[in-house]
Amino acid sequence: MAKSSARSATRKPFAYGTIIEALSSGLYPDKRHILREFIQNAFDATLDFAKATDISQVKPIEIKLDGLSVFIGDRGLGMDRQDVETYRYLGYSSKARGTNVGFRGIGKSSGHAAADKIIVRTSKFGDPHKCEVVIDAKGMLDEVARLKNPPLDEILEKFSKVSVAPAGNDEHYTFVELHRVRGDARVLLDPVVIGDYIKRNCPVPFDSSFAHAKAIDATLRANVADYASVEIQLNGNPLYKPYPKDYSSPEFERIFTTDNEGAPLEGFCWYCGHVTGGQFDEKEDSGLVFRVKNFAVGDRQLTRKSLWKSTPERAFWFFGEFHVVDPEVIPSSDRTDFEDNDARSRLFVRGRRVAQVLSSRAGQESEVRRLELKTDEARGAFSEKNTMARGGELSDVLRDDVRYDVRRAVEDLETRLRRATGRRELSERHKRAVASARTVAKSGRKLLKTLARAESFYDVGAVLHFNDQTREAYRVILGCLREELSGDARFFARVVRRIDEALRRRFGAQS
Amino acid sequence: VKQPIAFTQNKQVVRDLQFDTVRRRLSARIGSLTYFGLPSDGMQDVIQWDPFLGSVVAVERGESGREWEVQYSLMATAFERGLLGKTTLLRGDIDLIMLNGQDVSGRAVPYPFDIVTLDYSGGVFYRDEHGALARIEAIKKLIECQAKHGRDYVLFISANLDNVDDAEVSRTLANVATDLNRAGMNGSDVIDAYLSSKHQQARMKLYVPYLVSQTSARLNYGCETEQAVFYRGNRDMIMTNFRFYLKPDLRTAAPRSPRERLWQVVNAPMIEIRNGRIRRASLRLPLTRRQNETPHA
Repeated sequence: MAKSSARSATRKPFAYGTIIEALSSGLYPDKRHILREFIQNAFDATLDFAKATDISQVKPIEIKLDGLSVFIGDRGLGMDRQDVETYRYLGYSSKARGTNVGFRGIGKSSGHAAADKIIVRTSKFGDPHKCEVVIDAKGMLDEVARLKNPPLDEILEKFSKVSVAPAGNDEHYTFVELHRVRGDARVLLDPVVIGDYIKRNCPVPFDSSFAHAKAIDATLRANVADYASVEIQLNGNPLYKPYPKDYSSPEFERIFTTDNEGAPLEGFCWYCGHVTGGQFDEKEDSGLVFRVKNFAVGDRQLTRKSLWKSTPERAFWFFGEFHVVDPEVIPSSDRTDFEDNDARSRLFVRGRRVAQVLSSRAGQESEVRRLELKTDEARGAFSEKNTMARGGELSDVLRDDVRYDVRRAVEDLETRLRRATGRRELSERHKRAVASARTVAKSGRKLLKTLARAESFYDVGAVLHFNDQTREAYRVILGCLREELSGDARFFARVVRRIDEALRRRFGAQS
Repeated sequence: VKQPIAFTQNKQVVRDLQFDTVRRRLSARIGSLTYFGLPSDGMQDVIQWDPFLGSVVAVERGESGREWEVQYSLMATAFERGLLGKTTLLRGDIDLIMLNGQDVSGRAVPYPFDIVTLDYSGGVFYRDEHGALARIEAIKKLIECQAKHGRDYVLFISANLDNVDDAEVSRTLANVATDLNRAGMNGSDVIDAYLSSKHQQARMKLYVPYLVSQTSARLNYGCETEQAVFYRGNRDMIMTNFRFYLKPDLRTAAPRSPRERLWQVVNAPMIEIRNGRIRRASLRLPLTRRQNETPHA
């Protein structure tokens, strides 16, 4: 016993204050993630309250950016004296991995990297007290800098204070101030940046003006066990998930841990395409984003990089979410990626199915769009040439070019038609495009027959009774122009037409 | 945990009177009214008037060296009462904030306001290190900044009687006497009675309305003064409360003298709130009258 006491009296600490610096500043190079950590805590508390009381209508999480301070308030379960005492500890969390969004007990210390003080007032539901903890983060970091290696315990205890006062039994909330946000974290005070960040990363509801909000929300609730959303207000205004314009109806994809559909779910994905195919104009809102407990993990580039092995641009033909259900897939502390483990590898491999489906759909949509485009182009060109041929308005000089162009357009359409009819399933849009292309190709074949007739073309030399020398000069000039404009047949045709018109105006009367 | 300062029953009556003024004077803008003032960390007036308010700019200085404590407490109250979204906190001394147009962190005062509540815990006559009456200057500056926006508003001032015997008061009251004498009234007699009265609130009753009325008149604003109030607040301290309605009067570019006559201000009875009840105060002071009129009580 005496030996043990003597040992503890001389015991050297195993952790030093510099760890605070490393865990706070080092973990959060992007200071916006600090706010997300506090929102995570507020979200967990809000859901804990809902579970404890069976109240489904939870109150919003409120965020206020005010002067040099950031305030975060929730009306969740709250904390009692013991919880508040442990709030001061580093790396301590009573939350369960897999149950709550946060679990490492480090996120609460993220505020050390951003503000001079972290002040937390809280009252736990059913506890007739309110508690307050004040953490002097600046004092803590100054002391670490001054003493170089102060023991961690001493620092944490010296620079944090807990106090308690009476409160009503039914009070339940937590209210945090990041007091005097420091210069390198001032991004936290910008309402536009922060609003945008919360909308994209936190579990806010879908915007009710998004036509499929209710359907997607209901489907997620039915398929993703831990899916939930909570209203988050920034400076009094509610925030909603952003969405691009011109979207099509949503589709859903279940991803299992193995090829067997009875296997546990790896993830659940919803997505909407662009109503006319192609990429969305709103680049920042397109693509898929991973979500764990409805908090984003990484940005829209993470799914593109991890799931798309080819045609990655097709990731942005859609917008949607990939909710990860596998509890072994763990977001990294800053939630820019997942922890590198077997579960992550499995997620990325199994998730590729989504990329395949979307890429295939994008490919088919691309095919339809190209077919529609080519059909429209051919229809216009055939109609114009048909009218000119029937009026004998095509120059003999262009005979080969015109026939070549028409033949090429017809063959191109026929190739696309063969490819489309070879597919097992065609969308309604694709079927319409095929029918339309077939009609135009047919009209192209008919036009080729018309162009085979001599009266479809005129010979300007014959019309204007040029002598041989003039005819030769005309041929030489047009030969040179053809060479110079070889890259632009349409332009050459226009030039020929203009020359012929000018010659007709100038020499038509004399002839 | 910092607990909000308790308030007296009398203070609640004052708050009710102010509430009534807001309701009568600003009925057209109810629901979107902008508030500027010193609600303290209890925010009782803001809580009571919440349905009327669109935004709240609260000023809090806090205790020296621990400024953050009361400031945080104020915002925590705002959160607990569902007011956080509409509340903005300006940190620092309200006089300096009004004089400089910004708080200690450089946040500008977002003029104009519909309700200005200067609920001082001290008096209005303290002098700064340069000997200037900073609070009086700050009130003038506020009226000036409000006037730039040409909007009507209510101004509430509550203060105790600290330094009411400052030379500033006797000099100003002498001016009041001169103005009344010029108007052919018994100014000297009345003001002498005010200056020698044992009731310091009597001198406050003349000084504050005269200050607000004259300042606003110079800025083409008309000022309507409601009955001045005195009551006992925390620690049994005598407090005074003034309610003004200021309205732009832009019929002429040149300022005109206050529409509210000086004799009206002098003769207006003061009311006292005792044990939560309103009663007419009896300070036993003479009324102004024409020199040839018979005095009446």
